[in-house]
Amino acid sequence: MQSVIRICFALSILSIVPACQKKKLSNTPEMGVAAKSEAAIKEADSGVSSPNTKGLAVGPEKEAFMCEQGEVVIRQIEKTNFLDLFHLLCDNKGTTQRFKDLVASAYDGKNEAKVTLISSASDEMFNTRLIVGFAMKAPLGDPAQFFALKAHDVLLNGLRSNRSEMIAKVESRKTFPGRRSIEEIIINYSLSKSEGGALFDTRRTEFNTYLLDEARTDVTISLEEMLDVEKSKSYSGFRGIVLGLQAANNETYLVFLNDMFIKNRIDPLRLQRTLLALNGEMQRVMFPLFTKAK
Amino acid sequence: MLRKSLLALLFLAACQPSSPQDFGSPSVKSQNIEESGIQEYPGLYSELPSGTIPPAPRNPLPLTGANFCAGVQNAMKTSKQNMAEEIALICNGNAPTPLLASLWSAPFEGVGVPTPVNIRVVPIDEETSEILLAYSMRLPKKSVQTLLGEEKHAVVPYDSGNNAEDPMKMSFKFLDPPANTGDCDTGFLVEQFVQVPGRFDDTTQHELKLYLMHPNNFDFFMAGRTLVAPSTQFKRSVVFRGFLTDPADASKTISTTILHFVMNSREQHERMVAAFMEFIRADMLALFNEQKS
Repeated sequence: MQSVIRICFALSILSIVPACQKKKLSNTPEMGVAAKSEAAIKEADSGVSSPNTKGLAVGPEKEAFMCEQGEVVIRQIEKTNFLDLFHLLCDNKGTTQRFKDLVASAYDGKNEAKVTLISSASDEMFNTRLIVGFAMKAPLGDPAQFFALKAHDVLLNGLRSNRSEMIAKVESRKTFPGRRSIEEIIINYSLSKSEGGALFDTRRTEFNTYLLDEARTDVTISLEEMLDVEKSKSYSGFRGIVLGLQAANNETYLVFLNDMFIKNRIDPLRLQRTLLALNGEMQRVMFPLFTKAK
Repeated sequence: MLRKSLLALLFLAACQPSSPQDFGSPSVKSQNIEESGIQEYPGLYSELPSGTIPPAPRNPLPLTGANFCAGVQNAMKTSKQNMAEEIALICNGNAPTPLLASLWSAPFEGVGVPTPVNIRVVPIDEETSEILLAYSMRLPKKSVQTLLGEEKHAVVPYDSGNNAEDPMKMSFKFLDPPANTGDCDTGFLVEQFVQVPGRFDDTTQHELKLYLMHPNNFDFFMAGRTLVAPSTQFKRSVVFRGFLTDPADASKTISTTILHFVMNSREQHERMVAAFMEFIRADMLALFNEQKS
């Protein structure tokens, strides 16, 4: 299970972000990005999506368990500030269409590593909010198999794409720190370059992974939250969710959702491109770890 | 001698390429750099999942010379660029100097012949000249967009054209920048190539850094372009540019530029200066026209 945590945290690193302008940000299809309208987001939020079972990742029982128990756990650990984000993936009828769409385009090591731009906008004060999602279909029979992996080591080497660069270092790791968390990781992110521009963009987060049932390792949820927000010059917040879900045929889905509040960056389009590129690169860099662990 | 004069010219072009449209003049070829439109997006935080994260605070400041100079001092507290000498011309601490007031009273607005203020243009010795100029412009874009234009401007090539007495070409490329240690908002490293066919090639590197002057405020910015290491030709190269939202029209920007070059004149001070001034005027037009597009 420790590997699950490590993998998840590493993947969530993608939430990193760069620099700078007030815009409704556009897509970059060549990166495999798909943007969703605000209306679609509101639809997902309101739970109006139909309870269809078409496109389910692994079947109704497991997905229903993940959604029902996921919310229970979030409430039990008093992380209700994640509920609105969680509801983009799970509503009271089960997994949302957004979840299904992410799973349907999951990176499996052969296809395009897609990143879905769920929402992106800036206000006149260059407060930019980006919500991105992506999924990976790992050749692992159970999220627990991630225990042996040290995904963060990959991130120490840095992610580089489109003249952008990000590095993440694990500051500390604590097993069973309490509040149901099976592992707590403190991570320091540094987005050092954005399309050739050198940035000083750092973020410190706490990443916790939870079992939804102590007897089950086939479904996990990880929550990542920014620390020291008041000290940050670049962010006014960050939240991330990673859902780990055992699938058939010895495969596991990892579904990521990152919600970033960036400030003082006057070129949000550049920021968005950088983020998308690095999220895609993250998937490509991480995947060999899964195949090695197989 | 002519070669020496031209070489001196090249140096400046590295900092600010020009693009006059008239036949026979030096020209700048625009590069295909993506520009994207900016759209207002009101109500963002009420439309998206609420979360618990508040938006960043606002920090509105009066659009005054005092706040401009205070912002310059703020930026210079962390800056590693050697621009204090140039900045002192327009800001005495937090107080605007008479020169700054004078520049702002008559900014170039795209009409007539642009004329920079000649602060100090002198031969230091037989082979070295100092050129110190200043000018202000009222540009038809918001200050943020004007600042972002600095990156695009940094790599626009220059070509004097074949009709020039000594055809000269300049090109630029971005290099992998050194780590940003928090000394600026965004840093770039630009390599400059200058060529007069059959005579010389010159290569220098310049740091281009962009600064926010005040936290959570997007009316005041500055940019600095400084020579990484002196070369045989160039002893000092500083282009300072400050940006302030036009107090009379928030859709426009007042930019203030200080150009300071100490270069090898190769015993051709007068000729070099004359050519240099022509280039500066053309460059001012180019900058203005870039901001219109």
